[in-house]
Amino acid sequence: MTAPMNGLPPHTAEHGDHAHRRGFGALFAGRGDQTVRFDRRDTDRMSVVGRDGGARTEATDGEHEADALRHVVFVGNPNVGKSSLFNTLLGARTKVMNAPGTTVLLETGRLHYRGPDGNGPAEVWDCTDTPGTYSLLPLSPDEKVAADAVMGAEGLPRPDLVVAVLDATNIARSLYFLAMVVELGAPTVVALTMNDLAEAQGCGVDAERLSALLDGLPVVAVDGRTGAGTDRLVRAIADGFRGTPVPEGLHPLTGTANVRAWVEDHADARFDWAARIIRGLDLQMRDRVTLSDRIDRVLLHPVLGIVMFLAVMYLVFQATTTLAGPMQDWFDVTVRGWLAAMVDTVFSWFGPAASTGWAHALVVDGVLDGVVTVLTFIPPMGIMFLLLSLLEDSGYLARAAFVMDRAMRTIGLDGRAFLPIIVGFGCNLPALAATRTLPDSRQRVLTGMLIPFSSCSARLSVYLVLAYAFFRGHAGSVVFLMYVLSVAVILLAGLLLRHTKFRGLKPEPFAMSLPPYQCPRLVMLIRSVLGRLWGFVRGASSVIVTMIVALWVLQGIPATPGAGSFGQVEDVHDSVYGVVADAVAPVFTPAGFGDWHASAALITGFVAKEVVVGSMSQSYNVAGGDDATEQRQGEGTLGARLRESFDASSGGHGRAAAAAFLLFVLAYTPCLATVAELKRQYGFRTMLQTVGVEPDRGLCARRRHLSAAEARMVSAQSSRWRRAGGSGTMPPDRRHADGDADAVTQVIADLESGMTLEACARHRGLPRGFVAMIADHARRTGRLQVMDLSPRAACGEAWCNPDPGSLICAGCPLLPRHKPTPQKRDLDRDQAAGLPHALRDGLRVGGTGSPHGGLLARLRSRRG
Amino acid sequence: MDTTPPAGPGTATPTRGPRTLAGCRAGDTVIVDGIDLDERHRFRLMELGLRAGVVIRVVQRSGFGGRVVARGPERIALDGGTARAIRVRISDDTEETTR
Repeated sequence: MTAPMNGLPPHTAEHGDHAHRRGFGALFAGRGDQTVRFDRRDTDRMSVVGRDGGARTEATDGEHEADALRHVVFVGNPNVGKSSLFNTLLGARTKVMNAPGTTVLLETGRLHYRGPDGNGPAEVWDCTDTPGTYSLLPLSPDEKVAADAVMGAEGLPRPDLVVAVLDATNIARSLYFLAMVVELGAPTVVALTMNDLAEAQGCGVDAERLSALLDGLPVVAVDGRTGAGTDRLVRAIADGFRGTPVPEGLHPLTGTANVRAWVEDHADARFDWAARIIRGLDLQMRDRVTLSDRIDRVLLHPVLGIVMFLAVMYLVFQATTTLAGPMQDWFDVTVRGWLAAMVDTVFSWFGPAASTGWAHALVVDGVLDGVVTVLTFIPPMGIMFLLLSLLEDSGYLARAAFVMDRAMRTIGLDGRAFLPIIVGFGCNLPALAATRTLPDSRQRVLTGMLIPFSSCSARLSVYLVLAYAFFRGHAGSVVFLMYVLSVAVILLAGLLLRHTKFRGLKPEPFAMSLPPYQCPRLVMLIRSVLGRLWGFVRGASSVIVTMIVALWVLQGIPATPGAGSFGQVEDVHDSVYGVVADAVAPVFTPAGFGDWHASAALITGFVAKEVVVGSMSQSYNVAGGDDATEQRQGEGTLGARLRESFDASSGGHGRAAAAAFLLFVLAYTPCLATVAELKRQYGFRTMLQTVGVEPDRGLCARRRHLSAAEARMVSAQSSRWRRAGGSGTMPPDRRHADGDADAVTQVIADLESGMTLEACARHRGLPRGFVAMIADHARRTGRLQVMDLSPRAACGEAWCNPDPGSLICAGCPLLPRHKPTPQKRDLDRDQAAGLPHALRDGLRVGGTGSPHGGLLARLRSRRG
Repeated sequence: MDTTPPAGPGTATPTRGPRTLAGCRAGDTVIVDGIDLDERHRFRLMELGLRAGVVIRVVQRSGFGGRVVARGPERIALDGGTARAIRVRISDDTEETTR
């Protein structure tokens, strides 16, 4: 074993690459970060298989020993320091948030363990960090992921060992959770965190004593922020693979059980067990007023809390504007000068002609300009990430979610939805990923559609340049106002969506455990900021440099006679770039910025908002040269050019045009990477609706997303019915008392259970066309829920492939079941009169339906 | 909406009818009588430690009826709707239980 460094165990680590693609590549990104579509009924269907480990948990089996790859899952309540511990152990650059439920993805990493002395054969542990959860009975997608990971369900490998991360300050809830984990039967090691806070609160937990009370279950006190105790934790994990004891009073799960029943039925027993352990610990759990309580009297005050929240937000964004400026100047002037001199030196080696050719111009005006543009974004991004990390790690962000709860409820969301939106002010992409913390799928989609209205940092550069160019002296206030407007747009769009597309969406009850305030650790803070900053640079640089080089190429291609040769176009207006921008500019004339520079920048801004300023500066540079320092401040040549252009295009109302331009940048289509993420998370149609390309046809149409589990169930049912020749047995829980049911009820029951029209007709001895009419009648009267299988319906583009030869989708059992309307035993006169209409617009059998309607026709068209 | 006059901090004031957490003031120590939420969310609150019979202390009143309650060293933030769904009675005994 090599000497530990900084208290860390001698191991190396790898971590999964969770970087998102940006630019055009984002549209072709893989599905590594699969969206977990969640439905409450999933939890009812979840099952868990025990290991029958008896008094000792099941040890690692031979299969894993053979390939020397062991699966270790870290699981625990939100805000217990799990991600910090995982980071410290593995060096994985997971995001460490100090608000409940912010570990959105399953972070994985491989830890190479070489025995306690460091000289043994290498063991590879495949470690997984799960989202925080209070229970193995999930209420949200992230909780379901955590439950699946610890159970080894949904295609996730069954863990060889579970590291249960327990919060010493919340030991009662932690022990209840531990009870569930242990009962699953996997070897378990307890990592006890927050020990310093517990000691400060007078309720410190002795790890050895706790281990003794748990009948020898390994308990290791650790501090993920400093690395203390991680050595012992690694050794405990290595020993734990051989099996760990099951504490007395807990009963390992045997056989297969329904998760809901298993969790709920034994909850009281687990609480009693936890209470016994706590009594054994003899904790002095006196309820007393803490420092956090005193701080919360101000920060959570009904009035002062909101004032403080706004003040904090104001400070954050003032810092990104006033502090970042000088640093941006340094990058823009000094660094640009250094790099340009280096390039000139290199080209001078090839003779004087090389320094005036198109290759030199490409490097200096294309590549170098792109690189410097990226560098100038580092100061504001770094400051923003630093402040966000401070808010997260200190515990304030959780309070902010609580303070904003009421405001979010007005648009159908709970306070937790504020978190992704505020993250969106940094970058929309992680914000979209963070929407999975929301427990309701509709809330996730709604939040995802609102996030693009969050003014991301990339837009900040546009605000700054315009603000300094047109509102000098009030630039900070203008930028702040843009963020206030962004919040207003989010609220208005949320209200609109709430009363249209998401009508009926009810917010979830808000119940969140508040972490104590903590002083952020400098090392973790720097690591977090650098990680985020590197992610930004890595993600944005390729797009920015590529686009600016592409723009240079477009500007270098002459489009008019006599404009010059490639790379030597005298007036950029005569290039291909100028022609395209000219063609688009009239669209913006009513807004006052029908100027080709502005339109060109907006066009490229679709690819990445970071390019907007770079595109402007480059186009003006080509037109007449510019001073890079004053571009960023908006007070120099770029600002002057902008004022000239906007004054000219708006008839002397340059400020008004600039305000319109700022609003347009705030609200127009998100960047390409965000668009790709929207498609990946919510589907093609939602992506189009979010971007504004497609009007929301979902206002009146029924649309549902199928979860993977649902899709599998439908697929399995479909296969089963096909194998059974369409005459399978109705599931017992849905069986109707045929003797008491009329024909309509019987047909509905048959279709709901997955029968085809033909099978139902055979089963009931009825004409097939009559069965089709009954089905249509039931559909129109609301007794049979029929999925919308129009082109691009959610089910068709997700995992479920509608079966064209079956009405299983028509009677999809995933649809909400309504109680039958007041019984109408027979078709009344009006309904009978409507039958021809139904035949025309509704169900058709035998391919005789109208091409404009008819479920089967649409099904067939999909098959075609 | 509960019309019971709020009790002073930490005092046990007789109540005239069903009282909810939303009607409690900061400093009140109360016993949870029941939770009028759907089964899933009631169970989740139970998992968070808010079960019938548990003694909690209102730490903070927040906007729109929201409350922060303490159960030992734990702090749980509840929105106004959830606070109104939690029926409580004033505790005669402020001793903390760890049930």
